[in-house]
Amino acid sequence: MYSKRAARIAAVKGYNNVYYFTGGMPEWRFFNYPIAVDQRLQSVKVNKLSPKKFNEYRQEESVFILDVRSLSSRSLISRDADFVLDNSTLSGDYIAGALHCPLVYLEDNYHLIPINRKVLITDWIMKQAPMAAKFLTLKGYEVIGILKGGTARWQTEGFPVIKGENILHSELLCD
Amino acid sequence: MMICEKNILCRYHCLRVSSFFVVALLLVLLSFNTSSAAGFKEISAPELKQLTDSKKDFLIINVLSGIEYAIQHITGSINIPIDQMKSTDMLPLDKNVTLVFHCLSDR
Repeated sequence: MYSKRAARIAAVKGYNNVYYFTGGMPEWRFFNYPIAVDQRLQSVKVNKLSPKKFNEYRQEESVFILDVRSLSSRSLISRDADFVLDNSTLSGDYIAGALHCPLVYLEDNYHLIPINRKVLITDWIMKQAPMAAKFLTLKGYEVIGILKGGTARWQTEGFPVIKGENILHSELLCD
Repeated sequence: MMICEKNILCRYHCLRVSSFFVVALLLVLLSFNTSSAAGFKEISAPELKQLTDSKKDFLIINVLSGIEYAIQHITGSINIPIDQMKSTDMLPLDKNVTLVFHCLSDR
């Protein structure tokens, strides 16, 4: 989704030979083509919590729930440079109390998460949460863990969610 | 008389079936050409590898977050997160350089 959007922007800017690589990193890795990796980030262990366990931790007062799912295309277009850590950009259903910092904004805005709070991380289908957990751990945060299967699994297992815009669910699957 | 009616019916059905296939074929061709008409095309991993091995001027651009790029990226690629694509000055001045954009996966 993002690569096609980026290709469209480049074409509009007047570039004549523009491609988008649909297979992305998984396909590149499948063919065993060369990649560069950050061993320090790769080596950080991430604790995957079942929805039941995640819910138990959620009851603790000092816990900060961070949702790092992708931005919907609507939010991506309308978003300006001023980032606010709240739940206004959460498309699709989400866990009560979760604040949204899309992974694409985390590097510049992680300092908005209080360092003295333990962090629980979720997303939509556990695509972005592992990387956010590794990053925040290296930045000195106490990351309790990530929600195994993301909010989609949480919801499937009958845990409560705040109803978001269902029409945007399909947009959350890629990036 | 019966034979004639059967014949007409058969021709009618054949015409309907063939029309259906023509319409379906047109739709498929149209969907393939949408991106191309928009000024960009799809590329596969082997094609991209071939490009990296060639002497052509190209740039592979990872449009994921800086964190995802740091964890792993295609050797030689650069990172322009999608939210910075419109305002970036990291794209080459030469509009004929081949640009390849990718994210985690669109599949």
